[in-house]
Amino acid sequence: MMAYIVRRALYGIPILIGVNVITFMLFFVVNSPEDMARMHLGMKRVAPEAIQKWKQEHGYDKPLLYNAAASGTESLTDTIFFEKSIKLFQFEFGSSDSGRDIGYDISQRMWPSLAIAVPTLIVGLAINITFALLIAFFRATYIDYWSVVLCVVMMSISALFYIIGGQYVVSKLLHLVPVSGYDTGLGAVKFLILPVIIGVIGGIGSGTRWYRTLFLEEINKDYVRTARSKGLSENRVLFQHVLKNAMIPILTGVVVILPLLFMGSLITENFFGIPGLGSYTIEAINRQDFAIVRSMVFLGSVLYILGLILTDISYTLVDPRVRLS
Amino acid sequence: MSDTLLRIKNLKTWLGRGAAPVRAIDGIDLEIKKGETFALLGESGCGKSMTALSIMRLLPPIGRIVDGSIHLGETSLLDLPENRMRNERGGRMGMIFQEPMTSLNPVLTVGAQIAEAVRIHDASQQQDVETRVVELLKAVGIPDPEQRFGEYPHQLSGGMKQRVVIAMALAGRPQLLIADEPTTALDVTIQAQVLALMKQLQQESGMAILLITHDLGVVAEVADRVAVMYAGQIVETAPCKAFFQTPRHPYSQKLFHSIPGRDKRSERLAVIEGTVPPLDQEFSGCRFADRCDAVMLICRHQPPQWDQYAEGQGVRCHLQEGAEAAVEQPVSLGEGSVAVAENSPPTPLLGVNDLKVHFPIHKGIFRRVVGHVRAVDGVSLEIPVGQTLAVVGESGCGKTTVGKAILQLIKPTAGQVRFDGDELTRLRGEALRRRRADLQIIFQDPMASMNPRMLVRNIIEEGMLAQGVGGHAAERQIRVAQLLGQVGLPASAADRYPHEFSGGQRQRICVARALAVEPRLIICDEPTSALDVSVQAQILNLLQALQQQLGLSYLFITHDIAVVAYLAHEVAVMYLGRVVERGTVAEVLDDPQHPYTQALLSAVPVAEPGGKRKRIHLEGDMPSPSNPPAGCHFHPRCPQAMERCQKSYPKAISLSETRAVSCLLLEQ
Repeated sequence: MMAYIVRRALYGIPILIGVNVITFMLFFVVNSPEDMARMHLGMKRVAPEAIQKWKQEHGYDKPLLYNAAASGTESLTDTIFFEKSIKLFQFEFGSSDSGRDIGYDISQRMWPSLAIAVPTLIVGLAINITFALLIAFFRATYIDYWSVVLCVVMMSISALFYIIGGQYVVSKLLHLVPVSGYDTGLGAVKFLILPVIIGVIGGIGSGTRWYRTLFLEEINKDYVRTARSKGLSENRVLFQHVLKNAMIPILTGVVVILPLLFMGSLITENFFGIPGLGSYTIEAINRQDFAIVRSMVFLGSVLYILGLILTDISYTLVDPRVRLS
Repeated sequence: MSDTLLRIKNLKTWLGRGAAPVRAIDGIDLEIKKGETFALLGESGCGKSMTALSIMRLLPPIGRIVDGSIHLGETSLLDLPENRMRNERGGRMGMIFQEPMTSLNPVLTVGAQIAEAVRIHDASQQQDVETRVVELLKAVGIPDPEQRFGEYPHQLSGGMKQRVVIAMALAGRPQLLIADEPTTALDVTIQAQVLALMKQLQQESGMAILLITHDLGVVAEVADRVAVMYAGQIVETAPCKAFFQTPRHPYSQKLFHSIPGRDKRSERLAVIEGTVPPLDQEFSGCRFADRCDAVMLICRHQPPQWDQYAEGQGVRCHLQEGAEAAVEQPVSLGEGSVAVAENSPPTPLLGVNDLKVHFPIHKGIFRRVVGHVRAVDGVSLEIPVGQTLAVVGESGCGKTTVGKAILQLIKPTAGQVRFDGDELTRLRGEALRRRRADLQIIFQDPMASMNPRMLVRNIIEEGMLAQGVGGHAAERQIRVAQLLGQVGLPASAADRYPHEFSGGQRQRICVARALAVEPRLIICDEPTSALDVSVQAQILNLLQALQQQLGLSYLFITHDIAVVAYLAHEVAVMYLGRVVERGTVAEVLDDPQHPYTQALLSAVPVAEPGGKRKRIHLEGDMPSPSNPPAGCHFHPRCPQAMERCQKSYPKAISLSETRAVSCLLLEQ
């Protein structure tokens, strides 16, 4: 088990290097250090000396990937790519191009992100499982049929529609909660209710439909027939036998996204003006702040790899048949 | 009538709604007495399992009982509300199922699953459920019951799982145990263990058993009375002994004639032509009429009535006393051809020498190889031209791996495979590809071994195209039609898809596919074990006829001794990756020398009731091939094991020109 985890973690290193290279290339295909300097110094009439100075201060005065002027290993290490990437592996994100400490910003902005993502996940999970079990109980009836139709309809509607529609009805017409914004402490609750509810509703269609499939797949298995032949009631069959087995794919599907909850949601945070990591990333992209974009992509990859390892471990916890080796 | 436990009257169970529901059970009557074993016999799709599920009221959602009554003692089961029915289910009636692998919940411990049943049904044991569970585990012969309590189903072998299912069914101290093909998925030695266990439990508790099976041998072994089902009806009921002496219904008689065996070697097996009629119709005549050799005019117009004979035998047939005489006698194949094949000096076509297939076991961060699964560990075989060698053994003994290694579908770890002068293990690329035309394989599950999206024509043609034989398109078309004719299918079959055929027809297509490239050796990997016995007879007849016409050699991989006796010339018995005994069929089957062969043969149920054979019971299961026992692999289970057996693996001792046995008993 330990050996397995170590091996999986080691596999993560080449993946992270690859992610870094690709982010770097994509970013500098679109931008050049020159553009970045102009962006930060103001677009018009910037003296070439000022640009040069900005590049020097921020470490963008070197070649991108390969330094022909240097010799030996320095031709690879004395470049923007190497200098900027190597520290990421020690989780030192450095300062952004506008001079702020990225590590500090992340530690501040992850809390609003979590405050939306965690309740959305938990409430959504509870509601989806409940609905799916209910539909499974009424399998092969009209209730089942129309529920699936409803799920497909709900899946087909864009998340943007739920957000804008929700803001219009709940905030603008009914004045129940503010349209957008954020506050510290308990004051944040009134800003969080709407995005959480909308996040849950937006996920019901696909979640319920998927869990229903999982339940029905289990319900038709032989061991369920054995359980019934023991004289168990339908409730006990569903909760004791079917739910336990169907929870295996459900749980592991949840565990893989757990670490990514930190990253926040790009769209929701932007629309509701929540100062989380999602909106942080969007703002950085708009400002062409490479330091932040690269840090966030790197962090996302690390968390994703972590999520996959956690998934494997969680399998061994919920499924007695699985042993890691 | 006080000794009647279960009484079913005119039961009708339909599947599906709409205009033409499938009448899966169409009016059956049966009675089971207290403490007896009642066997319900029939081929797949005849309604046996539906009968069991109807009694338990566990029909699938599309099924419903439309008429009739079921009484357990004085209770009318069909009138009980669902919550009271639950007390009967698992209480007075317990049920065990065919597939022990899937019929236990994989995420609950064995103990918890049995405890669940105890809690519902056994009011006297509420204080000490755990003790009762351990007691049940002990009763079904599970060693270390305290430890097994906390284990999960995947940690147990198939036989052990079936014992757990039985323990679960016993939790409510049932008066009736319904066993739906309880041993079909198990190996013969394990089957013998489970049947003996059921018999013993019945003697202890006096419960009745409704045994659902397709295996006449199992019926003969354990049943007191038999009912034969066909197309949703019971066509014959009889006490076991009378049934085996004089089966009265033409269908029952056909079933007997289609069982392969030694005594039928030179004959074609009787086959039941055609298929079971679709059950979504009202029958105006006898359901078996289209397939019956003794069919009369009246059979087409009038459904036969139930005729009761003396001694509890009854039959649903218009023919009465004369039924037996009318059945077609098996046709002789012509003694000559077989005899010639057996006597001619054998020229070996395939020679396998010390073949080994080891699969590495990896461990640790760097996945070092820490051991090997010795699936095949030094097997030597020889197959002469035009003959059949059967490789026999239980699941996990490595017989399928031998087949694949001969074909070079798995790379052998060591050893030689000589085919007609060529060393196959050294052939590479083009040369090996060309050789593949000579060696073909037929698999166990014909549906799974054909691409469902290809037409039968393309399936048969594919090999010809790969080998560049069969000429241009028009010639190939003629060849496909000819091949289909050879396996007894119409040429029109070429333009259909595999799912449009029945199981037996699909296996014929697989045979045609193998024949397309004109092979000289066909490896048959359990080709009939997924088929009903009457269909199996068709395939065996076909294989035997093809061997005589084309001079094919077969390597026949099977666990079915009756098939071996019918078809093979020589036999090799495998245990844990090695051949323990080989010789001609007569030598091995009549006079087995290795204790494993003796036990294996004695465990096979024979379709003769009261045949007092000495049964050798093997304890436990086959060990894992990754860690075989020291010395002789068989010694931990061997009834005749000596101290010396633990030390070294016995060498093969040649008893005759064709015969070799690996056992220390023979070394003196």
